[in-house]
Amino acid sequence: MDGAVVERLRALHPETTASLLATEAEAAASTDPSILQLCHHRLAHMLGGEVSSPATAVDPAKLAALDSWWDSPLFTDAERAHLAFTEQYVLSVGSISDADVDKLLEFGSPRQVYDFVNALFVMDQVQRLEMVARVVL
Amino acid sequence: MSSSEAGSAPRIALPGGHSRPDWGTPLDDLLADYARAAVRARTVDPYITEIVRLRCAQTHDCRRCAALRATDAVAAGVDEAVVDKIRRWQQSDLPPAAKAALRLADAMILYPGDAGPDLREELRRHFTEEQIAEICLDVVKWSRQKVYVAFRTEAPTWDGLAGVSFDADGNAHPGAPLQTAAATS
Repeated sequence: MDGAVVERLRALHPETTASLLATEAEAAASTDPSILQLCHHRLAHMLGGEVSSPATAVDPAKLAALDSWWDSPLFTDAERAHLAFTEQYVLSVGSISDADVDKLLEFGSPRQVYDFVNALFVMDQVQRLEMVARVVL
Repeated sequence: MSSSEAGSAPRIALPGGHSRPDWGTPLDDLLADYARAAVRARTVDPYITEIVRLRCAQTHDCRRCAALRATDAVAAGVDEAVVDKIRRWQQSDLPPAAKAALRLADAMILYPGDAGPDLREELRRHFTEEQIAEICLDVVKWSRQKVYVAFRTEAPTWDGLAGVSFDADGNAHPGAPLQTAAATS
């Protein structure tokens, strides 16, 4: 999370902020970092923001092509499935379908899919918090 | 499309057999710690906290959260008429502080890129910075439901509405069914 936002939140709610940072670290370690970072960047673009930390696990060429992932040859089928899920998750989580989850299950076990969605949740929320807190606090 | 139209059976089998909506992973445990910490921060009054929680539930289509009512908020005036107004809060006669809190919630949930100085100005007319930060951190906490909704593991295990209270440590304690017009109709 952006350092300036962290410091502002920490000054106001130190315990909750420390707990959130612990979840962010665990989320990053709990699933495939290259796919999570790709999806984090994609959701940040969709929300109108940028990711504050570098994407160390992602090929820069893929990051550059991320806004056209659906027709770029750089992305694997697994990456496409996770990016498609991410877009639906960001736009309307209530509209995710059985097929959306089944598509992820083609590329991982139920536990791996759960870990990915849980980590995606953390990155999505941190991104939103960062963008809004930077303005309102 | 909402849960009433989409398939709403669980999409993965959880180790706990759906007695709890998560898997019980280390990240789940840390998120539970976060949730308790967020609940323990009580600079915002129960009415505001509850309408923000319900806005998250409505927007994310969380059946479990939408079927709960915080008992301290019910005592503070969050009745079913208020719950209905949250759906169209911009056109409602909810108090200005409530509308400001819901505008902040929507910025977090729906349009973070649209947050601007005018939102900050509106919020500062009603809340301290500590309270604004608490509402933001609460939205993160309540949005935990997005994982449960994605897997549709969030079906309530009760009919109608139930009360919920939080102890001093931040643990949630679901309570008895509530007798309200919405619950009994």
